[in-house]
Amino acid sequence: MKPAAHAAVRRAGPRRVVAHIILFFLLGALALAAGVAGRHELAGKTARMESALRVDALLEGGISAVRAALVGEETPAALARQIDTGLSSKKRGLKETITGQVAQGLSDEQIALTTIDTLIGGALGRVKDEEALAGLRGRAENARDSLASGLAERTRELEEGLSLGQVRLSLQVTEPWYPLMYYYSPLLALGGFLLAFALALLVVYLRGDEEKRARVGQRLEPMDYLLPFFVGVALFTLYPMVRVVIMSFQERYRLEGSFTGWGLGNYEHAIFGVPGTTNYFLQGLSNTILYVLYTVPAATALSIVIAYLLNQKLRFSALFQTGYFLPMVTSITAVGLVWRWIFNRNFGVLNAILAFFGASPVDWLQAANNSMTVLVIFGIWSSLPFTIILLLSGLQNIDETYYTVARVDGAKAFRIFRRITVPLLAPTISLVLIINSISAFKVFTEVKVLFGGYPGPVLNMYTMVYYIYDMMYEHRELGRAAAAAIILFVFIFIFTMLQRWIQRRWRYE
Amino acid sequence: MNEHHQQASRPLGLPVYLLGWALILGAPASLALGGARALALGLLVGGAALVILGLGWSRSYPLKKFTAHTVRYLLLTAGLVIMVFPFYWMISSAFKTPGEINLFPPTIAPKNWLNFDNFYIAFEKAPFARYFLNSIIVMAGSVSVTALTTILVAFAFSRLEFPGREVIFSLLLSMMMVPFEMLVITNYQTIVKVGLNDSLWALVLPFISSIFYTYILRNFFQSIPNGLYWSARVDGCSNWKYLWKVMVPIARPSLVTIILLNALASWNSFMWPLLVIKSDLNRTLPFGLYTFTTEVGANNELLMAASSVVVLPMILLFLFARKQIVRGVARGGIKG
Repeated sequence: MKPAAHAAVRRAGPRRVVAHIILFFLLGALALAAGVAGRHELAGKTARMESALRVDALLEGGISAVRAALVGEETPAALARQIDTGLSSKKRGLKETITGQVAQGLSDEQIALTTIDTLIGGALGRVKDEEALAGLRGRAENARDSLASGLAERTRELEEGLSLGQVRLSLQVTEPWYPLMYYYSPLLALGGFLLAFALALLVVYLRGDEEKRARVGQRLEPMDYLLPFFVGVALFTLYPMVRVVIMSFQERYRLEGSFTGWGLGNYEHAIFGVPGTTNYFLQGLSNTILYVLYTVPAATALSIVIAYLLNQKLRFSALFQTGYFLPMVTSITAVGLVWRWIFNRNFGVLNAILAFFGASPVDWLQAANNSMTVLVIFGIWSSLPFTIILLLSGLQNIDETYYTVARVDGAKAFRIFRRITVPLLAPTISLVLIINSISAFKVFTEVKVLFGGYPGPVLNMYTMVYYIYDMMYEHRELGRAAAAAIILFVFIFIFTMLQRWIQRRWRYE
Repeated sequence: MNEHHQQASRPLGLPVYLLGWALILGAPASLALGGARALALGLLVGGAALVILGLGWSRSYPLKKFTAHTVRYLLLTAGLVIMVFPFYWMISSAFKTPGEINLFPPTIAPKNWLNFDNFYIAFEKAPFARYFLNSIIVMAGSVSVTALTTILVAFAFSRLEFPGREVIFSLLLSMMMVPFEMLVITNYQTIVKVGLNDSLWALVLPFISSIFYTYILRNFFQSIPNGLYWSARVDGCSNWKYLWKVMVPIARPSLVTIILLNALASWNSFMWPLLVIKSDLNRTLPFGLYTFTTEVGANNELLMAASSVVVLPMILLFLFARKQIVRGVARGGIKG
């Protein structure tokens, strides 16, 4: 059923096309300009680095070449010293000269020739012994041309190794216009794409009649609603998703963007470690799995009981719900610090309670064999509210008539719970188990806060995400972090597929 | 109808039952009077046994019901105490003096509930006012921008027609399973490369579009009858006007839920600020609180005062908007 095309709606179409042409043209021009500026800046940087490289190569290469030509094994030490002082006396002046010549655009051969001449002059100027001087002058005369051409040759080889891409990766983030230089190619591509789009729209607008313009305008409309959202998704969900997979195969990929090659090296390093260093991935994996196995079933079992008790007619239900759900809305960081204080060895309230019952104080936070207990207690406590809420809504979805019928038949409360509530709640329970497992796999903040910023008192409480954080932030080994993240994702993917399967089965039942 | 009702209750049941309760109540009393812990424990266990015994003997339905009720409330209250205790402990510790906090065994309550010294000292030692402001700015920015993008895209996916609508949406949904911990690697690099790290922009920009909130809102938008839309369109109402004049007001409960969940997530986020923020003045509350721990050392009363400042706004929000938040969590089935 299509609505009757209203005059106002139809007029809106062509206007929308014009607005899009202008908008895309402006945005495209902006992106293109930014890309061009970035590339220009980067090319300038490259040229500057190239000339600096040339100056250095010519100067240092010239000095060592001249010295090798003049000083042999039979040269007396005193004479060699004189030649060396002569060479270094010319160094500063010569650097300026070469820099000037490079800026003038002279060729490597020309510069090499004057450089060699100046150096020979400098070296000979300091030689006091007339006889030796004559011999050296003759040797220099003979070697001059071959020295110069050799120097020019070597300089050119060095230059060829320098590309835009290398310079791009060697830049410091703090340099002005860094983002434009680093991202110049995507900017150029985006600008080109937007301009082409604007141009296509313009052609359609100019060629088409009023009807066509209106139709195009109508087809453009959804884009306006989608665009802001998709810009965010493209930049911060879609791109990272693809990029992290690629990154995991770029060996030793680092924050700066450099990597040593393609392959499975990141996975190998993540799982087996780099030889000679301690690797915490396997520890993190086993800790994470243990954490999931301890917290999730315990929290779910407790939650079933609590949700069952909360679901019946209850006085002060608002009070109870507020109390039970409170940990959900409060910052894990703040609450973690509170638990840290509760677990305090000397003044903590938990040890006080234990002492009240005659137990000796426990070193909860500093003793390695208590770390998991502490984390699990905190984990259960903080995941209870969420679990209770889901189970409670599952309980509320159970048809009241089941209970009525059971009660009429004289079934006892426990029997009702076991034979009606639990089976009918089973889909919700399995769902809760899976969702909780997924979020328990990502445990990080709890560890970071409970153990005072370290993965456990003796680095014994790494988790998968802690390992990723460590690799990414402390070691800047993004490639290895990516490999670990992909392995984490495999676990989460399995659980998500289970969840989908249960949800689908439940819906059609 | 029920056998138990007609049968005369056995005379001995009720006294045994009452005696049981008396013993149970006597357990804490004996402790308060200085009795041995073993005695209290014995009273508790013996009392519970007598209650069950009495219940079995008397076979009285009202008595059973009463017991079930009492046990239920007792269990729930015990659970409640465990859940709420850390919050109580945080606030009571925040009001204790340095001398009081290092007592063992600790006192249940501070001597003076109006001792705000710790708050003053904490605010002096670290710029918590600034952290607070940063948190508010980031929350407001993220909530408003996310709400806007979500409303627009949810409308497009529920009412507008364009090729590939359903396919794109299901692709988006499948992207939801990718954990943020995986995306964080590239996002961290992007933010660093663009030069936005150590700025509040870095805390807002990556979260401008949320697939999860879009999913919730789209579901709600689709529950609004289609006829309304077509009749408005025939009357010359543009999509834009229809969205803001009709859809958004109808969807207000869902929007409130989204905004609340987003505000909570933004306020409490820790890992992302930890990665991208460096300087003291750009920290948000949880991260600022975390770094504060290294500064205060063993002064737990200051730490608890600072923690209270971080936690209290969200507790207040929860007290006012509990139903909306709970509904959102129950519907989405995703941890906030």
